[in-house]
Amino acid sequence: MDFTTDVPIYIQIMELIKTDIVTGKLQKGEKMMSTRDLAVSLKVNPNTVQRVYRELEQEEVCFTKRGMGTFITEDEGKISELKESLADEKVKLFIEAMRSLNLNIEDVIRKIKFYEEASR
Amino acid sequence: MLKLVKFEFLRKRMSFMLAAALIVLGQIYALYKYFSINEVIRDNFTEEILGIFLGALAVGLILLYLIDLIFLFRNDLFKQEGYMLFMTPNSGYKLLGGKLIFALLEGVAIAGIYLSIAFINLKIMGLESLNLSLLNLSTSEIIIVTKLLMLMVFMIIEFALTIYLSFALFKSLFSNNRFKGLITFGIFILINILKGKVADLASTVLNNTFETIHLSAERFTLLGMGTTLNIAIAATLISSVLMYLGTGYLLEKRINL
Amino acid sequence: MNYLINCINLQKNYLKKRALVNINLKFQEGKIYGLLGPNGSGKTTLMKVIADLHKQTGGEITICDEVPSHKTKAMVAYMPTENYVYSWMKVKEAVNFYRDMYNDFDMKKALELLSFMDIDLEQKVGSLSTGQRARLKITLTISRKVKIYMLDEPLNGLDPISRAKIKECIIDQFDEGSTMIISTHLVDEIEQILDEVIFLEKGEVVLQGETEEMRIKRGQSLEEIYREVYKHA
Repeated sequence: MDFTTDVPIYIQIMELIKTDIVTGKLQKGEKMMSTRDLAVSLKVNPNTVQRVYRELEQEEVCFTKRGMGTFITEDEGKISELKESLADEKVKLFIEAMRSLNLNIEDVIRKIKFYEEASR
Repeated sequence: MLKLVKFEFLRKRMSFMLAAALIVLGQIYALYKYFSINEVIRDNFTEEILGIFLGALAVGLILLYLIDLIFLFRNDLFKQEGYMLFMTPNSGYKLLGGKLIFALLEGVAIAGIYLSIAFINLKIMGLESLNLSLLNLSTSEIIIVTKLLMLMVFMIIEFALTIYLSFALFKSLFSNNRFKGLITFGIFILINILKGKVADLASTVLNNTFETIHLSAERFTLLGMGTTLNIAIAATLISSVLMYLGTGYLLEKRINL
Repeated sequence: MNYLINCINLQKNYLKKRALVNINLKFQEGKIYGLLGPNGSGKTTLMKVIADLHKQTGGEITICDEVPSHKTKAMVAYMPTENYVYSWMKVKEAVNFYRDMYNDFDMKKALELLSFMDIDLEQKVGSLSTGQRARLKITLTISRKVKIYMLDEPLNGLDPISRAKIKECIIDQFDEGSTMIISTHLVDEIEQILDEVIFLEKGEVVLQGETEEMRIKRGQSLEEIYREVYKHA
C-alpha cells in the first residue's frame, strides 16, 4: 500500500477503512482483521493500526468484543452518515480544484451533466 | 565455556582435515624416500635419518601451531565476523578462557599426532630398543621431564596470552587503524621488553636471597635444575595469570570492536 | 514510564574523531525507533555502544537499568550492518550457534522464519546471495526473545523482494514488550514503520520526535524532512 506521506498515516488508513465500509467491501457487523495482520498487509507500524482502531472506535465506526476482536458497526445510520461525510469531503476537494482553475459554478455544473450523460 | 570450545572445534574441522591429509601424504612420501635409499646406507644411518625426520616434523608442527594460536583470536578481533562471537553474552574472561582451553587441547592433539607418527616410524624402521630405553628413567629424571613438559605448556599459554594482550591493547587504544599489523607487533615487542625488565628485576632480588642459602656441591646439578625449573614455571605462571586478567579486563571493559 | 535504554550526555571519542557528542536519549517499550542520518553521523557507533561492542568515553548509559556489560548483551539482539555470520558455517550451524549461545533463542520461530525467507538450512553461508544473507541475519536476530532489538541498515543494498520480506518480518514479529531501533538512510522505504525518529548529524541529535506528529506539524513526509535537515551535509 502506498501512502502520501505528508498526511498522517493513521488518518489515511481510517479513510481507507471508511471507504471500504461505504462501498460494501466491509459489511456491517463484519469482523475486522487483527491489528497485526492489517499492519503486515499494509506494511505499516502495528501501533499505527492500533491507533486507527482506537480512533474508529471513538467515532463508533467499529466496536470491540472482548477476546473476540474488532467488528464493523451494525448501525445503518452510522454507515449512511459515513457515506455522507465521505461524499462531502470529496465534493469539497473537487470544488476547490475547480476554483483554482477559475471556473464559475454554472460551467462546472454543465460539465458535470455532460460527462455524467456521456459515461452512461 | 564448553560451548565456546565446541564452536572452536567446529570452526577448525576443515583445517584439521586438511592438516591430517597433508601429514599422511608427507609420511607416505618420507617412507617412500627412505626405502629408495641404498640399503647399506639405510642400515647404518637409520637413527640419524629418523632423528632428522622427527626433528623437522617437530619444527614444522610447532611453527604451524604457533601461527594457528595467533589466528585463533586475530580473526575474531579484526574481522567483521568476530561480531558473531562477541555479541554473545559471554564475559571477556570467558571468551579468552575458551580460546586458551581450545589452544591447549589443540596442542595436546598435535603432540599426540607427533608421538604416534614417531612410534609408527620406530616400528617400521625396527628401532624398538631405542623406544624402550627412553622409558627407563629414574624417578628424579621423570620429575624433571614432567616439569619440563609443564614449563613448555605454560610457555605456550604465555606466548598466546602475550599475543592476545597485544591484540586487546590495540583494539582498546586504536579502534580502526590502517597499520594494525605493525602497531600490534610493536605492542607485542613492548610487552616482551617489559616482561624481560620485570624478570631481570625479579632475578636480582631472588639471587640476593638465594646467595645466603648454601647448596652442597654434589646435590647441585639435579636440585639446581629442579629449582631453576620451579622458578621458571612459577614465573611463566604468574605472568600468564597477570596477562589473562589484563586481557580479559580489556575485552570486557575497554575494547572497541 | 518504562525506559529500556537511557543515555545521559553520552559521548564517544576515538583517537582523532568525536563520534558521539552529548547524546541524551530514552527508548521506551513498545515502540519502533528510526535512527536516521547519513554515513558517519554516529548511528552505528550509538548502536555498538548499546550492544556493548564499543565503550563510551563519557556520560552514562543504562540498558534496563544496568551498565552495559556481557550481562546486558543477553537483553540486546543486535544485527550489525556487516556480514557478521561466519561464512564457513552452514545455515543450520549458524542457527545452532545461536541456540547454543543464547538462552532466549526460539528455534521453532527461527525455522519458520527461514522457510518464509526462502533459505535452505543446508546451504553454506558463504554461498548465499547478498539478499539471502541479509534475510538470514534478520532471522537470527528476530528469533531471539529480548527487550531490545537493533537493526543496523536492514534494507541497504537489497533487492525489492528481500526488502519486502524483511519489512514484513519486522512488522509481524514486533513485540509490544520490547523496543526496536532501526538505523537507515533510506527513509522513504521505512517511514511507515517508525513510531519515533531520531536524526543524527556529526554525532549529535539534531531533531527527534513522533513520526506522525512531525508529519502533522510540518506537513511534510519524513523523506522531505530528512532532505531539509541534511541539505548541507
